[in-house]
Amino acid sequence: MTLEDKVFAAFQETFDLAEDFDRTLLVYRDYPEWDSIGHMTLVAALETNFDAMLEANDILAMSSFTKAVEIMSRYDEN
Amino acid sequence: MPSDPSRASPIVFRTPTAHDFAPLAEIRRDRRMQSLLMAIPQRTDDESVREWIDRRVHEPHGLFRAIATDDAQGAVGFIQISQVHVRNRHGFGALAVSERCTLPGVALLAMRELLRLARVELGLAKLMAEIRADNAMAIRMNTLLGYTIVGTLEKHFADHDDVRHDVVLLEKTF
Repeated sequence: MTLEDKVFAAFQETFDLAEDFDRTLLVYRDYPEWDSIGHMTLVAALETNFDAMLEANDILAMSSFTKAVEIMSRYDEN
Repeated sequence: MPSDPSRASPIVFRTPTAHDFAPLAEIRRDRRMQSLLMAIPQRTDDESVREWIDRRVHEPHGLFRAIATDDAQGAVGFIQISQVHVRNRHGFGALAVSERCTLPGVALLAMRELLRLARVELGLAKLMAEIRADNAMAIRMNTLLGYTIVGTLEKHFADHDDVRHDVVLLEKTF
């Protein structure tokens, strides 16, 4: 599983997305389900999938799928 | 695994400063938000807002922190722990984040800080929360962070229009 797939798996789990969902649409507050609660759920899913505790800076900066992949690359030990 | 000390958090939790007065007053004067917080301030002029902040800051055995993302711009919300029972080591936690705050994750970080302060700084064994039953977002946020629902207090809160609302009581033990 690539890093991008691993991050997308957390988004899928959080927002119940289909495999072929256009990932560029995943932007905080633009994608309707991605509000403050969605963000909280997403962070929990990422922390579980990556077995990590995200730092405050990273939680605040995670504003799109692309940004999430960039951030999670620093937590990916594989 | 990142842990670079040079990457200081852009969000801080501090005792309110003069910079925080205007945004905290805006929250205090927001009738909708106050109703969700289950508060009905009788007055919201500057003097009353100052008294409210002072009362919260000096709450016996509790705490009140402004949530700030930039010292120059003032608070985007607050966290508070009140009604602390010293012997039984429990209290009530609450938070408010301005709707103007568009940063992702501020509420999550504020909740985490609230729990940390309750456990570490105040030495509490349990934090409770009372949330209007129709505030599904806040209930969901609390349960995601480990709160469990104790029960519902029926018709427990009367809003500005004297409409009564059920209130959900939640608790998180440490």
